[in-house]
Parts: sequence; structure tokens; C-alpha cells
Amino acid sequence: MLFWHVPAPNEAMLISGSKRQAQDTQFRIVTGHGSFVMPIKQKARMLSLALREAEIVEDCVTQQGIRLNVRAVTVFKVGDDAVSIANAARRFLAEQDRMEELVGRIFAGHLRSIIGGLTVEQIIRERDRVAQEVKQGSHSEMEKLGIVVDALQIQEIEDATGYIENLAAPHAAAVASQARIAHAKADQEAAEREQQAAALKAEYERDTAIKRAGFLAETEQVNARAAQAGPLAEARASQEVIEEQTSLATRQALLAAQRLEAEVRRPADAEAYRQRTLAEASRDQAKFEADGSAYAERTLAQAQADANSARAESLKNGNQELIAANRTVENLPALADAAARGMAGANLTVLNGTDGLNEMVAGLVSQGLAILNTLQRPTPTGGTGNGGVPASPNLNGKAPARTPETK
Amino acid sequence: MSVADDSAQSPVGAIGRVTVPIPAEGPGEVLVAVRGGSEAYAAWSDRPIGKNLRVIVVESISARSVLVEPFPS
Repeated sequence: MLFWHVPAPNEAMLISGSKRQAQDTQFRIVTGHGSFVMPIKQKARMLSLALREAEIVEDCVTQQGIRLNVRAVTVFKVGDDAVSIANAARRFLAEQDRMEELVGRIFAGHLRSIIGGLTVEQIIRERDRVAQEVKQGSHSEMEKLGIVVDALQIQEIEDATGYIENLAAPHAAAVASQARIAHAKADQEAAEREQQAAALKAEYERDTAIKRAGFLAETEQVNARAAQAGPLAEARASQEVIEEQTSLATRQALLAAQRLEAEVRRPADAEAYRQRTLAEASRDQAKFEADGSAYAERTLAQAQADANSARAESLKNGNQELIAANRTVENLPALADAAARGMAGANLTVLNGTDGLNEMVAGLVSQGLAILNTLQRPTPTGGTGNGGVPASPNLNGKAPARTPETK
Repeated sequence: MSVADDSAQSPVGAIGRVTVPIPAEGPGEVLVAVRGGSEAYAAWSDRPIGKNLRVIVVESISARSVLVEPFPS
């Protein structure tokens, strides 16, 4: 709308020219809502109620007379109530943009009085005291201007005399000394630890060296033992060899003795035994021969007797066969002689199984001779009747004369 | 049109809280709920009142100054 004015929430609208005045002011104060402003009769102005700040740099003297250069920021606004708005409007409406500057200048004097009522220690430490002093020093003055001081922030204190530094010095020195002490302690501890570590290290090194030396000694000992072991073993081995050789020599001696025994004594013994045996044998032979000849004669006689008796018996019985056999027996020497002669003269080999006659003849020859020899010789021959024909010149058809045979 | 807005509303009777301790002879500061917000008033009292104590505004000396009494708990 053209004539309807509405102030912002942080603004107050001041309408002049109206006859209806609520608070005995020459103008109407409107906050929080709109109002109709008549075009020519009335005039509306806006007063900002927003927060403003002013920076102040001022040389101040404290309660103790110490000169300080204080830099502070004051935060203020126009009060929200009608009285404050009216007061502020009357003073600042035309110069709202210079308000900070103006208020700052005004407040600088207040700052001086505020600082003058405090000590440095209070400024530094006691916020409540500072706030109280701000209230006490500036409230009534600011109220006249319609301004509410929200906060005063002292941003920086420059101390030309070095009072604050001196104030801080004991603490600083104490802290520094503590720091140095701590540092020294730490250093000491570190050094101690390092020394301990070095000592431990040295100890370990010593232990290691001792152990190493011990191991070395052991190794050398073992080496020496090993070195000794060679010759020792060699000596032992040579000793064993010598022992073996000794035993070998012993064995050889034994062997030689045995060989001597075997080669010399045994043969001698054997020879002696042989001689003795031969002697015994010849003795026995002589004895046996004597016995044998006696036995043979006895047996021959018996056989002759038996034969004669058998002949007599057979003749008596008229046994033809036996007669023939007797004849054959009687003629045996002649037969055998003829056969032997025939065989000796002729290059004739009598083969078994070629002719039954030949076989029979050969059998007869051999058997006949054997039987003949057996029957006719007074002494037994060493022959076994194996068909060997003794080439005796005595077999001439007659009964052979008894001749002593030499062996 | 007697009062068109709250700008004339008085803090008397309101309960506030001390934000700056009130000394025996100097102003402290109380934060009073008024006009839908909270505003700081310079406060005087016949006895010192410590910080954060609740007080009741008994009288308005000027636009931004009040007399307070400790709030009976």
C-alpha cells in the first residue's frame, strides 16, 4: 500500500504530525505493527533497534595509578521501551549511521571511569566486578541517550610499565623453574636409563664374551680330544693289529706244529702203523694160510668123500643123469682145456646173446675150470671164479699135480 | 488509541534473575521477562543480592532502572 507503513521487527516507526499522542511525545511511536500515514499531514521515520558495536581505544589509569592502553568493544542497542526509543530518536534519528562513532566517543569517557574504579588484577580476573563497574559508570548516562549497553568486552590491555609482566613474572619464573626442573629430571631420568641400559648392555656383552670364551674353550678341548683321538685310535688299532699278528703267529706256530705233526709224525706213525699192520697182516696171512690149507685139505677130503659116497649112491640107484654129470665132471678138464685152447688160438670174441651154444661153452669153460681148480687143487686159490682163465701150463689134460703156489 | 503496542509495558511485578550482582549502593543488573522477550534493567536494592538469585521487581525508577526485592522462596 502506498500510505500503509509497516516497521520491521527490529525497527520503530516514528510518526510525526499526528495530533493523537499516546505518551506525551511530539510523535507517535509504532513498533510491531503497521500504521496508516497520511500523505501530506504526517511523516514517518524508521529508527533501527538493531544491535550495534563501537570499538574504543583509550589510555586509562587503574585504581593503583597504573597506565594502561585499553582496547575494548562495547555492544549496545536502542532500548525497546517507549522512553528509550523517544530519547534515542531525539538524539540519533538523523545520524543513525554515525551512531556507533558517537556512542563510542561517549563511552570512552565511561571506560576511563570504569577502569579507574578497578585494579589490574580485577580487570584481568573479575568479570562480575567489571560488569558492575560498567553498569555503575555508564548506566545513567546511557539511559539519557536511550541506549542499553549489552556488553563491554575488553579485548586488549597494553601495559607500558610492564606491570602485568611483573605480575606474571613469579608465576612465569615458578613455571619456568618447574619446567626446567621437570626437564632436568627428565634428562636425568633419561641419562639414568641410558646408563642403566649401557650397564646392562655391558653386562650382557661381558656375559656373551664369557660364554663365547667358554664355548671356545670347550670347542678347543673337544678339538684337542679329537686330535688325540686319532693317534690314540691309531695306537689302539696298531695294538689290535699287533695282537692279531701275535695271535696269527701263535696260530701259525700251532699250524706249523700241527703240520709237523701231520707231515712228519703222522706219516711216521702211519708208516710205523703200516709196518706193524703189514707185519700183523703177514703174520695173520701166514696163520690163515696155514689154517686155510688145513681147512681146504679137510674140506677137499670131505668133498671127495661126499662125492665118492654120492657116486656110489647114484651108481647104486642107476641115475642116468648123475652118471652123465659124473662123466661130464670127469671129462671137464679135457673140455675146458680144448675150449681154452680154441679160444686162445682163434681171434674169436664170444658175445653174450649171439649163440646159446657159445655162451654155454664159455660158461662151461669158465665154470669147469673153476670147479676143476676147486676140486683138484689142494690149496684154495685167490680166484673168485670170474671166468679168468689161468694160463697155467699144467693144464695138459692130466690131473694137475699139486704144486705149492707162491704169492 | 491509548496504547497501541507493548512498548510502554512496565516490568513492575515481573520476576527476574540477577545477572550482575547487586551491591549495597550500586546498580546491578536483572534480566526481566517483559514484552515477549527478556530485557536487562539496572537494578537497585536495599541489600546486596548475589548472582543468579531470583528477584521480583517492585518499582520502576526510570525506563531502564528498577528496584528489586529478593524473591521469597
